[in-house]
Amino acid sequence: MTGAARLGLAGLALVALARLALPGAPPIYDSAPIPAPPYNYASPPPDLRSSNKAPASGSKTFRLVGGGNQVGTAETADQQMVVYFNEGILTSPGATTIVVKIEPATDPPPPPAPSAMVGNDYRITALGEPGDLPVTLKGSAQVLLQVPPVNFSSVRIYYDSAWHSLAMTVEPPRVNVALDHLGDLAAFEDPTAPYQHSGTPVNWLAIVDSVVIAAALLVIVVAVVRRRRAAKSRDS
Amino acid sequence: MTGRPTGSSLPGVAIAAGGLLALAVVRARLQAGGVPAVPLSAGYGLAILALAGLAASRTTAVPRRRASGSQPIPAETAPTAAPGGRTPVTPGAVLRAPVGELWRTPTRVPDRRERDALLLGVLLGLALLLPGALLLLSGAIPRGAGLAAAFPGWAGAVLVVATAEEVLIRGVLQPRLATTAGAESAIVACALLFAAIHVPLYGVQALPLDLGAGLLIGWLRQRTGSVAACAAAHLVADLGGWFLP
Repeated sequence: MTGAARLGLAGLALVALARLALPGAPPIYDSAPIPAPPYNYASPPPDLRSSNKAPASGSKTFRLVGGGNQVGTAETADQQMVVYFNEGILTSPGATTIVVKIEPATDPPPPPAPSAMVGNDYRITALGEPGDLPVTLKGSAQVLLQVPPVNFSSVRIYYDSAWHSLAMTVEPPRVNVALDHLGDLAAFEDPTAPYQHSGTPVNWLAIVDSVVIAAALLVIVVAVVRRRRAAKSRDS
Repeated sequence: MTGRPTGSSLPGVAIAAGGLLALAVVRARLQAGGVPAVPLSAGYGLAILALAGLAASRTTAVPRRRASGSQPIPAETAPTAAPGGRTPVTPGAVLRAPVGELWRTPTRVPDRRERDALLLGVLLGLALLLPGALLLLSGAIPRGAGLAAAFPGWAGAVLVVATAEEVLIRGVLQPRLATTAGAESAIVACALLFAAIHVPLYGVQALPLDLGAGLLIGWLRQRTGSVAACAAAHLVADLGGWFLP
């Protein structure tokens, strides 16, 4: 086996290991992010009311092995929220399974002044079964939360009768946060804080891109056609 | 490996590597500002193609023979070297070079060797999807959440970006580095660059996966001599990302 072949095999092994060890990592090998579907609002803005779809809920049942959950995710059917639970971080003494539910809340807690809630409040709950037993989160659950294409400045989790700010990584249109408590999760815009993200499309740039793309494709096509003609004349 | 430079290929390599990283950073910043993904990605891919043409034109390492070494490339597909061994940097040379790198002889039907290379590329692309498919089947992670109506535009952007990255990294850089540093070093260096250009947009968590993919596709280039096969592997792996997690 040549050195290059060994490198190829190492690459294949690295892909498999990285994919399995970091299931939350982006699976894409180039730089074309998959466009997100429109945001589904629980309370849509007036101009989006006619086209809005209600946000979906979701649930996942985790089997308990050795007192803790198996690795897996719970997500809403529209994928606006995905929660990744590493192995063993959910526990519920006496239970054989844990049911995690994610629901868009219709009665969210009031936002902390002077912030305004952006998008939906998602309520994450977990119960041990059988018997609706309490569940403890030991460690961090990773969350990918889709946010609507408007400004926001923070993501907070509500528990113990208060909103708590979370460190976040913005990957438009999603935000990645780590949870150490379950509760209500939502994004907020605080007028006193600088915004973190704006999803407002920049149409002029899209137009310029389109013109450049069309021009470049035209040049390539013309070059190929001229080359074919030159080859034909040479052959004949 | 195809191509033998008659002079230093370092200027072209430096232009390509530096330019590619700078483009990746700029693109990530624009993306964070909410610029639509599809036109931005397509523009990014075309910028890489232009960079590939510039890098190829700045070096003398333009391959003069096909991978099989049995047939010279038609004169018009290979830029003409100027006196002193350097290919002149003209707009025409910059535009011609990426097409020449991708497919040396676009005027004829690919022969069996090239078809085999393409098939191997497709199979390797499927192999890159296998771990994600296993995760999907095991229920560990959910299926990707793309908007069906956006698929054609997204796929077009992926086609441009994946092909452009392969033309520049595996088509232009790898053979030039191989002639000065050796085949294995070239594969590793190009895989590192390939992984690095994804970090500004996807973060360091994407680095191990893309490094592995870069090594595998680099081997494919070395094994088959075909850049089109590399583009096929890359494209299959990317398009599968729409359907798999």
